[in-house]
Amino acid sequence: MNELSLVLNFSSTQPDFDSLFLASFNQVLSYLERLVGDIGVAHRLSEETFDQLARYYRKGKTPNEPRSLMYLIATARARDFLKKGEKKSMWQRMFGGTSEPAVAFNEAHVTDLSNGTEQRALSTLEFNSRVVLLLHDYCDLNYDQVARAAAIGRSAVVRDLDRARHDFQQAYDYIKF
Amino acid sequence: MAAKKCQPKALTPYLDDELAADARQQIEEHLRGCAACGALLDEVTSARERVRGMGRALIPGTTLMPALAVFRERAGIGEASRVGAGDIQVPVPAPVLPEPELTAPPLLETAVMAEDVATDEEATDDETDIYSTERFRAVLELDPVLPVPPAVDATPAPREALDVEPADAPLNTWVAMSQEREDAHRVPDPPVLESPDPAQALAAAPDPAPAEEVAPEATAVFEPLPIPPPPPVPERAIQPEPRGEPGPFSAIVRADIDNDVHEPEAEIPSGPLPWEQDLPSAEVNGALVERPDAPEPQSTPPWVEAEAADAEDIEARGRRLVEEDLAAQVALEHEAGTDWEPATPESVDEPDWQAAVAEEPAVAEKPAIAEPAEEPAVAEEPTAEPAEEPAHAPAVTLAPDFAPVAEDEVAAAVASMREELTGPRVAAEPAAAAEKATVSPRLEEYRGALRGQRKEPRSSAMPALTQEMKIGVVAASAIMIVLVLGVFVVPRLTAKPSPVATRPATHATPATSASPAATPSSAPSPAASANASAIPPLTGTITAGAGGTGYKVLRIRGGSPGAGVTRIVYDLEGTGPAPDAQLGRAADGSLYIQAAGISIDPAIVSGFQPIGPITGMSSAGTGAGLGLRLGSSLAQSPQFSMYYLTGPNRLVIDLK
Repeated sequence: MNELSLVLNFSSTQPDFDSLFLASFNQVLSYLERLVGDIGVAHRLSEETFDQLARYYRKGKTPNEPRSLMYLIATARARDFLKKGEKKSMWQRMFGGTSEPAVAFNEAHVTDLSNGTEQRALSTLEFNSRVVLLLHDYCDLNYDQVARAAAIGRSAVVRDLDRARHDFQQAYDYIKF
Repeated sequence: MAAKKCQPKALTPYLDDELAADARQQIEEHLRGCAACGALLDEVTSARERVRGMGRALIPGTTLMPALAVFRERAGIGEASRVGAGDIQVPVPAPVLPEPELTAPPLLETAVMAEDVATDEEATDDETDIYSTERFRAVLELDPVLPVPPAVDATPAPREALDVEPADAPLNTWVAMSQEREDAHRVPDPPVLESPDPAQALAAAPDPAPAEEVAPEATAVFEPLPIPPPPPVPERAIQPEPRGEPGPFSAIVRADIDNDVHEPEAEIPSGPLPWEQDLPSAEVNGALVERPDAPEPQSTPPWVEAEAADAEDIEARGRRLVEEDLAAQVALEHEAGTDWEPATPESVDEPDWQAAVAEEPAVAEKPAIAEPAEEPAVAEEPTAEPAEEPAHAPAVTLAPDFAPVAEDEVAAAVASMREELTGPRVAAEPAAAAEKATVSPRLEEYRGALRGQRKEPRSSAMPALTQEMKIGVVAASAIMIVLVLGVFVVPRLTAKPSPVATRPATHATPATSASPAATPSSAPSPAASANASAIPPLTGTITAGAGGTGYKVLRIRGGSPGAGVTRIVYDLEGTGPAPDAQLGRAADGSLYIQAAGISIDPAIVSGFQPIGPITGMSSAGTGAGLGLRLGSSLAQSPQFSMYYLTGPNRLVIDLK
């Protein structure tokens, strides 16, 4: 139940990179924005996610469960950002190139991301609970896919999702009313 | 029964339709009669719908298509399957799923839902008013550096706060957006008010925005906080720490010490020195005129005290002062009739040194020794009695007052010493700092040598190493060490035979080839009889043991544990690790066992009874230890294995 297991079993029935990118970029961008709370950072993390995801599509192969793999990468990127911020390792500072953003959008494209009360209620949750809640309810992943994307077990998904929903609702009611 | 038990943890998978049919049916039956579980289900349902209803980004596919080529190029993906932008539907917010059909009490359900709807609408309106885009945009456009009120729960600022650019402007860089976010949260620096009156500066500044649109904290002017005056310090607190009541001499010594640590020098007493105070004058006590207490040698050499002169001058001056003191003392003793044997030129150890000191021009030029200017007249006095004291001539060269000296001359010498101690330092006070910068390091080293620290002055022939030179030296040393290790150590390590290659394994492992070389031994074991045959080359050799020695075969047993296996057991006596043993097959089909660490009595070998395919056992080999040949009656050599057993120690050979 890790990234390697999502890659080793290549499947031909899974969507290719182009379809996945065009169908999921908005969703990944929104998911990351809900996680980190900053559209600029979410934009950068989204492109890094698809940059890394595209490497698994080399040689014409398609990874197993690419959708879960995509959210797994995105979640890892968001976790690293929330843990380390903008810090870069010495290797990245010395040899890491600066990539220009590939996706251009304007403010009108992300207007719907402004939802104050829900976002505030989400920010009160722990990161893992937030991830599970967003992956299942916001990104429409089933339990198995959530377990793969969050790198946890299925029973942990049930437990965390139940707790996250209760906590979210309590926080929402507290903020709203 | 199970249907009536509350299972709150199962409500979430029930809501998500992740339960099996029977479990789902049980939950439904339970929810029909449990209002508490119904309320919990409403709670999680509401949470799920709120999260599902959160907005998403809506970047059109036409904008994503150029980016797709960039991603493919970065990752090196070939032109496998291009998808047109129109083939992909940009996902829209997921529709709200219909509420599951619950059988909760209708009163409770309707009440909760009605309350939710009513409060949601009201709160949404209020929230829209508070975080309206136009309002924040107006504030930020008027004064972008105005601080945005931070969120209560530390969540990022509302999205509307970023509306500082036209909505159509593409945000193609996350750096710019992050910078804007930082600017929005940045607390402005306090303005630098040139006018001392903050009110005037505030009046002169343009009005940033109407008062009703700017938050109170945004319009606040950052007035510099008044710097409170320092608290009054008691006058006694800033006075130097009292050090008791030092006498004049201690003041001098302390002043010198303090000068070393760059503290303000203590005032040098102008009164008489301690020994002068204790020195009775001729008027007071005439008896002491003949034997006045000469000024005792200074506890610290004079050249240690002086700082403003060159080290060589200091040394010369100090030596001269000491000689003067000694001359004065000799003169007094001579006058009192208790003088010593005057020195002769032959008794002087260093006549050249004396001459050098006498001819030292710097001594005569020093202003501190101006008093010897009158000395020549005194020095000429010995000419009145040349025959009586001819031996004083060499000493006169050092101190020309070897003639009887009066008390006033002693006082003059003491005064000269005091002047020597105090005069130059006071006179050279203005230039002391400049001279100290050049003299102090060397002088300090010389002082250390004089004080017995055996610290020799640093030789100027060895200049100080620069940082680059130090690094170079360290690098060269490291390279030399590596080279030495590479030349001397590594070849030895590589040439050393590996113990793993020759040492047999602990457990029996079949070897690919076997060539047990019979090592000659000067002390053959009892097993090596005269008619023992040499061990031929073996194949299929297996080894066992861990390198032990000192074992002895007590007896040999044979039998069959079943399954067509013939087992030969060597009961051993000994301690420690198991001896190494080799078992292999010869070309004639017989087996040979060899163990250097095991000794065996030939009688035991000869007493072995044939068993199974083993027709006999005889000694073999000429090496030390156990060497046996196991004859086989089978046309094809049997399969064999060998291993050790402990408690008691046994060497087991299985044949099949």
